[in-house]
Amino acid sequence: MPELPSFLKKWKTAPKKALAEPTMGALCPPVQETPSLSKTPDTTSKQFALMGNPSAGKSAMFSQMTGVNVIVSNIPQTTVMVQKGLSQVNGHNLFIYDLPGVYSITAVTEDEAATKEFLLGTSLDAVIDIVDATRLERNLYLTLQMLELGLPVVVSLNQVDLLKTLDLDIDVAGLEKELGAQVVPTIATQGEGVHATLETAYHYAERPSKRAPRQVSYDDHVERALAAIIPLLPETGIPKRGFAARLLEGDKDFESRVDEHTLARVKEFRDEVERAHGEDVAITIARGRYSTADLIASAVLVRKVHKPTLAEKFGDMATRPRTGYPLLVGLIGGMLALIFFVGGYLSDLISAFFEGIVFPPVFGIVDAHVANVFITSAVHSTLLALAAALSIAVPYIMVFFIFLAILEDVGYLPRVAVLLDRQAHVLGLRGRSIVPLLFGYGCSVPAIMATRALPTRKERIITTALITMIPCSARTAIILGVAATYAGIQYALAIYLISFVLVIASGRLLRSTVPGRTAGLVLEIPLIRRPALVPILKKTWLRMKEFLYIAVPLLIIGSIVFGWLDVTGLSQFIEGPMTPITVGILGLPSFTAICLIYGVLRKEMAVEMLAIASGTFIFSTVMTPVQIFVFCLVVTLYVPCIATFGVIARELSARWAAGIGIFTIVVALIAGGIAFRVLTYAHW
Amino acid sequence: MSQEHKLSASEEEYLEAIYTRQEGGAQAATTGDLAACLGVKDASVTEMLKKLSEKELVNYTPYHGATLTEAGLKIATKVKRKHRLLERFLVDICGIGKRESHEQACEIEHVISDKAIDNLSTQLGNPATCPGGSAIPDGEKGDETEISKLSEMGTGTYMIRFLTSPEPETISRLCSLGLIPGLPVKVLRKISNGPIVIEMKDTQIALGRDVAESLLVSPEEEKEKGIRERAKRAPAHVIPG
Repeated sequence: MPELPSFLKKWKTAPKKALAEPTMGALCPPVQETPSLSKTPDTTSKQFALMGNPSAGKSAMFSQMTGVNVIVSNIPQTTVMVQKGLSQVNGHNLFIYDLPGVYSITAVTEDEAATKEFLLGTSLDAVIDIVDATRLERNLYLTLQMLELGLPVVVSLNQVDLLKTLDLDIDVAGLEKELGAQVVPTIATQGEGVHATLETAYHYAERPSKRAPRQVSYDDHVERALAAIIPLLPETGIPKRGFAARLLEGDKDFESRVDEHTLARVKEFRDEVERAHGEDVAITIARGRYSTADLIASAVLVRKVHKPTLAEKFGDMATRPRTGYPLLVGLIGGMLALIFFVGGYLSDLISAFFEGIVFPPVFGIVDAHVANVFITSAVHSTLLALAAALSIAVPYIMVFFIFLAILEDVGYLPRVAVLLDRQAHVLGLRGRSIVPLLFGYGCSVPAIMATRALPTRKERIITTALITMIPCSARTAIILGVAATYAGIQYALAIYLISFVLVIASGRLLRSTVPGRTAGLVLEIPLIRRPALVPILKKTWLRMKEFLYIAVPLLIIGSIVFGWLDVTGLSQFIEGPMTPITVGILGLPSFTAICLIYGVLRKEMAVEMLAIASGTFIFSTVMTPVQIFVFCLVVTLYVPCIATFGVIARELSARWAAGIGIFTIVVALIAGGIAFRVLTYAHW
Repeated sequence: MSQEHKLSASEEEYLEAIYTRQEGGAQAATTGDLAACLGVKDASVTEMLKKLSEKELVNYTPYHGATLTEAGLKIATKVKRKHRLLERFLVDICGIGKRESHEQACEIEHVISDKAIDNLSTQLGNPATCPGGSAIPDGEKGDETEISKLSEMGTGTYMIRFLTSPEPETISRLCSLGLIPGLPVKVLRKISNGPIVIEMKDTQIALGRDVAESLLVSPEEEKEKGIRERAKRAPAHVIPG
């Protein structure tokens, strides 16, 4: 058990304006800081935290407030890190922390423990509580818990635009009165009410309201116990009633702050309440909070006769097997077709642009006027790399990301998790692993990070290992852009099929070999929302930006080095030792050796370097269809890229990263070797 | 029934003690809890829990504690009903003090027949609570057929009665979502061998088969439903302030 932080000491006794980094325990993920944050001490700056249920719209709110690189999505539990961003109100700096979405301030999951630790250990000027207006009562449970702990809560009543479609109406002034806290209606995805929320929070921080926050009404036994415990408590800055309730329900973090004697008394009261109710006191207390939430919700919520809307019908359709499976198959098929045709069309346009308009004049001038082979080689390499990156990777990856962003924002993905829960059992997983696995078709790195929301280590390990074997968008670019285009569509489909079968087989293998257990599925299904263009493009751009800023420079450097290796004749020293593998096992041309090595840096570089090594984009002129197929198959399956290695090592351990790497190399060589021999034999 | 007769008084005491800790859900009853509650040594508790676990009356995880299985719950409910009715009888009719009534009820509950207790209940006018204020489990409706696993139910509205799971985290997760005893839930959809989609408090939630097994429910009575909906409807049309 990790030592608990002495959060109560820091609680509100720390200077309010201090910009000290929040204390983080072992459980708490690192704060991601953006470079734009100024460190200069500013006496008028404030620290705010965003809290709320998963899928209440916290991430959307954060990105609206700060414009920071946070990926917004409609999936419970995707914001697994505490992110920090900067915003301003009337020239005052506001530091905003985006906390993981949680349902309550307990410490069951890693996310909840991290959130609780952060909330109690940081001196915050305001906690902006994002309440999903469409699920008011359930969201108020968390609000009441925060008010009980004396946190400076400002409520952002989010998704108010959806109330109308559900035939609901909320009396905002009434809610303010009921809660004793300020309430700002917002539509985070459209940016409405965002500035008002910040202003309200700022003013609240400047001059905290005198209104008493709503107290939870517990039943008589609990109330009597609380009244008896309160006089025993030390002065901590936390409201004594809230402290006493925490003690009574057996919150370990609070128990560690009182002496043995008090603890013994609390236990007596707890036993008494439990005897009277015949149930665990934690349930009695939860019931108290929920019935208070119910009272508030029914006082301010007006329900009208409601007929299911089209969006709701679509949502139901997506989770009903008879309609859900065809929909899923159709969407995946449609996505692949879209990537192939739209991506292919864009790819053709871009490569035609480079080959027709850019290359001839530039290469003509450089070749005629520069004598140094290293410089001419570098110029050639740079342009080829740029052309390769823009024409092979960007179109396919971009189309995929747009598609994924739409599915995410609509709220479709959790429904897939429900639909495929049964199938996930085959892999030793539960439905909630489906979402990270689907993310894996985009990029393995965020997909592996999303596994943090999974409740058990076994599930995280299996899901992570499988994600590395799923063709990410870079590999899709290879499969569709190379195998389908130059070898034939049947080869591309074969690669998908082989990788799918291998994922299933590996899942079965891991299910019985990875120790530990899995926990049952409990998943909130969000409402279906109409996707908005701007957030989707923004999200796609944020995901593409990483590719452009990191991958393209890497590719250009790699390409220049490759050119020089070729000029100096050093490339033979790399190709030579690898011939037994490339030529011997896989039946590929020897120049593919370097491509496979580059593929470790980034998957799509294997193909881009193939274009550079072979000197052409028309791969069918230098390789047979079987060779193209085997090459793409091996690239799809073998070791994850370096970024994925890094994230596995960080999220699981270096040993797991190495183990997964070796495992995938072996699988790739076996699959490639067999494919080469079977196909060659068949062609004879 | 036959199973019940095989149980010793002390086995029933254990089930009852776990029930008390767990009635309404909650985390498992730990060995320490039970030892203190029953006034025995930890080691004897462990031994007994293993024995009850073999009879499939409790889910027992070493170092964690025990929760009642469905079968265990049925027996415990019955014993608890006897206990609380007897207390009522001893206090109201025999004029005995509360503490004493508890001790004597503990003795009688293991020997009195189901028939006798049902008749006693009728004689007492079917009281709802014991002298301490705890609810007396319903004899006729709390019967075997009434409480069943959510995973076994078709679409419709049910009332959550108990949470029981070998994994304490599952119970905590259900509680923080608001799935606590006394809450009505609506089963919207069942995916064959897959999860169950329920609706509660305007939210759709998918529960895996294994999780749905830990929610014990009873069909919601029309009467209760009517009262609750009226109660809900009334303030909904009144906009304060």
